[in-house]
Amino acid sequence: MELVSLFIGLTFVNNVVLSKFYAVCPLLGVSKKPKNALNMGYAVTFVIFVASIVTWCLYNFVLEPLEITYLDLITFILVIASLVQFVEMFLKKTSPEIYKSMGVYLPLITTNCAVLGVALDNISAGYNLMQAAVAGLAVPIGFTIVIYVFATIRERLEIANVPESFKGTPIALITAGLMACALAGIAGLV
Amino acid sequence: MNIWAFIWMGLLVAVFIGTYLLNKNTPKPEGCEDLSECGGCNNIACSHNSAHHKEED
Repeated sequence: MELVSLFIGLTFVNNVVLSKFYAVCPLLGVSKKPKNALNMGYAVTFVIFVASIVTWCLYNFVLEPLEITYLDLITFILVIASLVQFVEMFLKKTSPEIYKSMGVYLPLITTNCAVLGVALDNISAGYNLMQAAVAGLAVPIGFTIVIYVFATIRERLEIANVPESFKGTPIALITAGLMACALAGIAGLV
Repeated sequence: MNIWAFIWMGLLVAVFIGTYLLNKNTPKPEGCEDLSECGGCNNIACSHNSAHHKEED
């Protein structure tokens, strides 16, 4: 039950995009088309899930025993960058279709701050391995839901009668703000 | 100064360079050679942006 609460809390109530403002860059940049947004969401889900487990294991089984926990930030950055390279190479070899659908978004995940944010939050929150794995799944699912909904809204805004000065990024930021207000309304659910 | 910190950093950098070179030397599958052009956002500083490819043409 505790893990279910953690999952729902991280997916909706404490959504990283709309409550902590992680990954705002891909939210604004890759949300012009719902299909692109979904592909980005799939890629981010895979990388965050694997990265959160790997970084948790490295912190607890390597950095802490060697008393070099002050290297956690740079360790996580290098691990995430290496992981993205490895995943890209693996997909090239085994799943050309998935590689094609993810396209250019896969290497861009290296600079997605949500990946690093989840890895650091897992450590600072004192999660165990199972909780870190659940967080590594809940956070990117929340990200995918938000970016997909945001993309569908932006698609409709393209044909809406928006004042000239609000077209493009301004109306997108106002939309993101309204979505954050809507999600804030379910605070206290879990 | 902890010697393990230097060893650990060297190991991580080596792993990153290794995965980068392996990925770079892995051929792209058929039909995926021209995926580098991206119109996802308007960041022309990104080398994947389609503006760079238009200049090449």
